Amino acid sequence: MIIRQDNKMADLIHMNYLLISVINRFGIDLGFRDKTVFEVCREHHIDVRFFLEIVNAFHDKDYFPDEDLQDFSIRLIVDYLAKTHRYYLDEKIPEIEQLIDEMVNTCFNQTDNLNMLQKFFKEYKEELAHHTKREDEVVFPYAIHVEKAFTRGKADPDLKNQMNGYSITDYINEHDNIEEKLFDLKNIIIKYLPPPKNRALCNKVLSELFNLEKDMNDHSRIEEKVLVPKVIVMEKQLRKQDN
Amino acid sequence: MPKLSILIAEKSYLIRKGLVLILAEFPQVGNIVETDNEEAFISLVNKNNFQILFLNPSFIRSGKFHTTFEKIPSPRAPVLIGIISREDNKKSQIKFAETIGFDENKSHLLKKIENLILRSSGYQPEEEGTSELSEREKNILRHIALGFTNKEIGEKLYISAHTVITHRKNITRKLGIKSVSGLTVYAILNKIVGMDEIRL
Ligand SMILES: [Fe+2]
Ligand SMILES: [Fe+2]
Repeated sequence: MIIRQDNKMADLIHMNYLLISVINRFGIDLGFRDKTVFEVCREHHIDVRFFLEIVNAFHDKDYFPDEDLQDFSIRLIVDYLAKTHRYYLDEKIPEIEQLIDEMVNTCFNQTDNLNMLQKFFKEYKEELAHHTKREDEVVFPYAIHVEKAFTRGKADPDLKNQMNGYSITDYINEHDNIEEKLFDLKNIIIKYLPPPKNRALCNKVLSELFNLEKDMNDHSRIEEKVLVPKVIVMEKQLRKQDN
Repeated sequence: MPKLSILIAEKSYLIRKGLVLILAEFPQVGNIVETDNEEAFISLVNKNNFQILFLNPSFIRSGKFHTTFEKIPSPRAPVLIGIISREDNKKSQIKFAETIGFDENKSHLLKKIENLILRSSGYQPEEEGTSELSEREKNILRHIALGFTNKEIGEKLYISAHTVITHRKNITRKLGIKSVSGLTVYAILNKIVGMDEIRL
């Protein structure tokens, strides 16, 4: 189903409870009563078309927005993506890290030697931090820079240089898959760990990993399918003016 | 075995979604691409390597289909499945390897699709059952965990780097683990390498 502005916010969560974390990232908390998406967005000063775009893309990975729905600014997209990075690094990852510590210490025998799982996850955390840092510090500012020039109708020399040295196409070519290690970790837990003493805890770790993976898939999709195409169009226009 | 890449060329959203839903349940299926227009279809077929192509022939209006399709060299050509009723198929100009109709019952349809996928993915019953690593693979895995590159492993074991890569692909497929650190965790868990021998 396609989510529309007159849908009840509560119904969205009933339909797909993983949307809670998406909605939270917009600064919206639970307790919507019977308010519609439109009403909640207005209350929080959120661009409702952008909100719809994001929740629909999350809910249905084949969702293709209508052209006219895509005219919100790059700044909005980048803000949302950066917030998602913070959500991973400041909330989700520490939470899962703690669960894994707990799992290793209480679910298995010391002799099982599972502290390499902790090391594995720590390494993953560093990889993720590196990935998001590059986007936050290089890619996103560049995208905003391009948008500014585009609105102004002219690229300053500084940006021209940048566009020649590093364009959004380079980013997309080197954009790596941050879910790969999560996938591995899931399989290690599902297939290869000795039977745990505390089943519930193990299951919890697993379901957190599944949810995070889904969330990250969606995140990368927005980077690649929403942000990048917009920047490419603007880069093209700016280059044309040059000649 | 690499996962199957499938193209669905069909105007009806209802039918496309239904097919996607059924196909996605097979672990052998990787990428599923949908298209609802002829232009996009032609460029998709030209640019990509699909193993299976579901095609509703009513979809093709111009004569371009044959010219495009016949240009694909035969080892690359996908298996053609018609989304078409038995009756219409008799009149169809395109030769389909198999057809699926709208009026088929559930078990019949699912059986057809399952057979198709098993055949296309080069399924061999004896081999599929063993996800156990061979001694050779274990040895290679051990070297991966120890941090050696493909080239170094090749030199140590007197095989080409290319062979090492093939082994690595098989190891990853058998275990469902892609990253080096994931493989290392597996190697330690299974005592293929000692915890003290490596630094993660
Ligand atoms: Fe990101
Ligand atoms: Fe990213």
